[in-house]
Amino acid sequence: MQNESQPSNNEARAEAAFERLGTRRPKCSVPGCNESDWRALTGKHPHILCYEHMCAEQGRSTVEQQHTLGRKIDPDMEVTMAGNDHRIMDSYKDQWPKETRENPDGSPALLAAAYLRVPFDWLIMIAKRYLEPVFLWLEALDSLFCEKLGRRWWVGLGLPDIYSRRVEQ
Amino acid sequence: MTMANNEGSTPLGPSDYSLTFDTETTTTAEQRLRVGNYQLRKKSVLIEEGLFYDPAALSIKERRRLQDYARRHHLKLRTLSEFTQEIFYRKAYLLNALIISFNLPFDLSRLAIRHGSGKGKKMGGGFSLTLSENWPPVRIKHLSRTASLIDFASPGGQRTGRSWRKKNWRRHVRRGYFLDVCSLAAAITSGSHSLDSLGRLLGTAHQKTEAEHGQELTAEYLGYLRNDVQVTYECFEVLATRYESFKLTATPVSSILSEASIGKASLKEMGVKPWREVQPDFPAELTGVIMSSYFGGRSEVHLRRVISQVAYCDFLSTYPTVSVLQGLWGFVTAKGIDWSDATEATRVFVESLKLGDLAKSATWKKLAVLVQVEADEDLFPVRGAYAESSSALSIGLNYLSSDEPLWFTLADVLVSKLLTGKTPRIKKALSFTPRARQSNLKPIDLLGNSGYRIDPASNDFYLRLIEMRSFVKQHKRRCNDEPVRERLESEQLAMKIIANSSCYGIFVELNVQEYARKQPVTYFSGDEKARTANLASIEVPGRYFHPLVATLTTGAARLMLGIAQSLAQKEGLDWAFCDTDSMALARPVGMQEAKFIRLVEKVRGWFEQLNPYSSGDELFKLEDYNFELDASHKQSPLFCFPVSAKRYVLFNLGSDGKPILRKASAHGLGHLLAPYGKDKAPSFIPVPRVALTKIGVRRWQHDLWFLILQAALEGRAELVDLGALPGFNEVAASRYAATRPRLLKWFAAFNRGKPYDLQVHPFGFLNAYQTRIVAQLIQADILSLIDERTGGQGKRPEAFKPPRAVSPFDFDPAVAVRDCFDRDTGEAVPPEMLCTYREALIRYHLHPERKFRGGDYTDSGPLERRHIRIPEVNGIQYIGKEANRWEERMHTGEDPDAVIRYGVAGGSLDQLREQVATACSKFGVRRVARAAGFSHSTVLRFLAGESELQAATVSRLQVAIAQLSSQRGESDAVLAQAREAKRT
Repeated sequence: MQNESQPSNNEARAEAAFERLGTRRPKCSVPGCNESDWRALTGKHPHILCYEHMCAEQGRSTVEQQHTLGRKIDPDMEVTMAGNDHRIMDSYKDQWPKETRENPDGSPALLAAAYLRVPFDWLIMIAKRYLEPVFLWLEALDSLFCEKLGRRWWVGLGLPDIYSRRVEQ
Repeated sequence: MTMANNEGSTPLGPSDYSLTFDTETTTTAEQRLRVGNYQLRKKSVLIEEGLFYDPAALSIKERRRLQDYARRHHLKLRTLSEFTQEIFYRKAYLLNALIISFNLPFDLSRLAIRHGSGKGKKMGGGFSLTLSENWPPVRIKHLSRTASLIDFASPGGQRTGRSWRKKNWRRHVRRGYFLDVCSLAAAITSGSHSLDSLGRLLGTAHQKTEAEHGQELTAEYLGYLRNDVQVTYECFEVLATRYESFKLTATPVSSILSEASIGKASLKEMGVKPWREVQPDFPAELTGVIMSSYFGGRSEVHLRRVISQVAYCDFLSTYPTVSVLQGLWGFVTAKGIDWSDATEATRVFVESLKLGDLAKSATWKKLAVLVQVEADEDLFPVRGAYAESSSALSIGLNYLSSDEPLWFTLADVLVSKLLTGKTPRIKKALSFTPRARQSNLKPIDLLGNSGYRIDPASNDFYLRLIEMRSFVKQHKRRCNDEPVRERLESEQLAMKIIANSSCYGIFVELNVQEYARKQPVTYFSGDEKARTANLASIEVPGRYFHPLVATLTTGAARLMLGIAQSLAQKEGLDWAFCDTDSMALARPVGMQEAKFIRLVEKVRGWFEQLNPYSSGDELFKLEDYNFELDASHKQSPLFCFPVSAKRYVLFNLGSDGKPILRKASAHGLGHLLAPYGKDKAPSFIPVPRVALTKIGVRRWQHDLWFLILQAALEGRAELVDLGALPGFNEVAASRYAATRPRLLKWFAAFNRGKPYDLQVHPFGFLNAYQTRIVAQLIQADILSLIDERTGGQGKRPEAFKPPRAVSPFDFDPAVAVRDCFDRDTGEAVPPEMLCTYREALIRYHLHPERKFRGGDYTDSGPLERRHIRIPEVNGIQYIGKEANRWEERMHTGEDPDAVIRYGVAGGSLDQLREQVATACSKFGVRRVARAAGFSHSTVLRFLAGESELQAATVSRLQVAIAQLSSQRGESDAVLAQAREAKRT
């Protein structure tokens, strides 16, 4: 049935992926690997591997070339990236409007839109995968320090100010 | 609700999304969708609410009103087609949302654009509903009044990629998650509810309101519809929260179809593996022996249609209790069961048994024995077609003699010994013992409370559960804090449900799978021989099927009643009736009341020696009905008037001599539509002093029993005048839903030529009626005329079969009845041929009890047990578990296929041929063949010895012959009545 294999929104795709993976909380089963983005995971619970670990298992490179704008628009523009990130970026690209993704007539407006979508997707990916874990980690660290050292744990430690919130009069 | 997938991968459970919806329909036969409302939620937060409608079912004015309403209330408005595409499939299906409704099969069927029959092992016998051409259909299989299996069909085609196929992985088939709030409510509250009563019981923020259906669409009506959906969702939330408190985390709420689901979930939570998984090699022959010893609860009347003073006593949690006494938890948690010959030991045991031995709990631990007896006027449960004019089966404790040895539980053998003094002749006995305990059993904190910890490896689960429940109830009685009392009440109810649902029913669960074509089946029974039959309906054991536990449970429960009866007789007491776990001990005429009370206490006290519980609750307790209605807890004289098994009433006598009903049965009444409600109750009948929910009946049923009692008290027990009851001169109707393709087929003629929207759909409501006896007399007149003209030699037409009248639904019963037709012939049936409530119930209080002697219509007094002899030739028929389709039979008249008949035992085919030949010469070959449901040539070939019929086929022939004979007998009786009427 064509509708089932082409869900129309991201959540539906995620749900289909969760069914494929056999769990709603998928994670790479290799100890120490924290990959939990469904787009980058393969296999079936409990034998889930992230794409990179699957490549490693198969003796393939975990680093790949991604067609930045897609093969149909520019087959030569490539960038090297980690395998998992590649899967995620391609997944974002799948959600572009079909016209932008394929641009069969070479519309300059659609080409420009694609050019803008690329860094946009990058920003989202970097934010979700590289920035978000950091600030979440920092917040968890603060909770731990508060518990162990008290609410104003930084006082007296001699740490430099990162930000000054007070406007100097 | 269904588990999403049984094809090799564990279902995920529903996502955070839910879709709650409701439909409102026309009030005419097709109950076509007019308008619906839905709520799409994520984690209980409403993200979209909308209305949907069938454009063809609304006028232009109504559509405008709908658009206006949607705009004012900021609701999405979609056509039915848009709703199914955009919401039902693109959202709910793709996002694995939980799809919620109250009476979900009905609502789903209103969305369908066409339907077909369900196929396959799981859904055969159900429906497949196409809601949209591009999406998988929804399959529904009706299981019971409150439960259905519902899922999405597989989309079809090869869906698993090659790499997965190589690894033997299969792609998950999206079956969806459906939750019928009606089913969940029945499971969690242990009762049947409408949305209205459920909302009130659960105390939801919104309550169902009233509306007039079938009128033009108004803003008020749309508000009513939206409110229904809101109430449905709120009920779901409360029930889901309650279920969550059970802490049965291994089973999601979406899998709870019934109380039995909760039982299974409890066992699963403790890591208890089903018996058939741990011992898959258990011999089928022995399973046949065990099943042949299985009977349900004992339900009997003894002092029929006499008013007697009684002490109504009830065993505490009977099935869990006898499980505890026999140590059956050991069997449930074992790695399997062993068996050994115990013939000699059992003979000695039974021979030497005294009543006092049964007061010792050690004796009960020895009851895990099945006994093959050569019955000779011994008292045993006998399953048979006791009613002459019917092939319906019932079970009676009767004197049995049989050439063929039969298997019973040791408990049943002891009952026979206790009540007759005679030891049955034991041919063989098998003793069963549990093997070692399963490993990986896990302790659980029941209801999440560490104070309610149960370790299945070292505790008897049922003992612990019943004790905990008692303590919780005692705590509640002492507590004054209302929220705490509510919590404790909820906890004790949950414990009751878990205990009842996990100790018996699931162990004898058999689900019928229906096939389009007959399948070859090998079956076993008491003689351990393998036989084959070709059947279209095949019983498949449920997951926790463990027939030894089931048969030992019910056998021991019957023993408890047998002991009570024996004790009562010893003390000079009588008994009026019994019903599975209760007995009404009767005061004999002439006995002083004080002596009666004292002797009842003596009988009850005997059971305390057996009481396994430390909670202080009595084992054989006096029910609340025996006490005054005020808080004095003073015993007051209680009376009963039993008519037949499960048909009785308990009452006090008021100071004015009028009966005050305390408990009554709705047996034989529940299927009828109420002729009137509380608001139209007659003023000449006093308002019930006890809440109707406590009595167990509706107001009109209460009033019926009141009149029956009044007549009995006035010494005219046969003459009950029902004419003054409101609505009793209207045509009596039963309402049910077309839950199976077979039922919907009755409306094939009605539906023919109509567009799908105007046809009666699956799960649409239908009415069934009874025909008047006078219609039979008219037919008898015709027969009489034929006889007169031909000197009795003429060819008689088919024995008269009263039309089986049904009609499509209409909100107004008076309108519905005008479209009445015979479901067999399609011929219209005029309303004049149909029984009124008065006529249908005129003999309610005279309902015969055929299981015993002295139980004919106007008989009253003590019944006598029958003496039943089972002949060697085809005396025994092998049948499936007879509970199949009892609801349908109740509503629509007897269904010969409701009991699966496998075949017959013993005898020679030559003797059978002779029997069939005699019948054919009496009734004609064609008639016999037609009554048995196969071709004329099949019968001829059998008679000519050219074919050997399957045993099951022979069984059908025998049943057909019996029915023809009884119809001939009935026709003759009616004919004689008609002739008599003519003469006078």
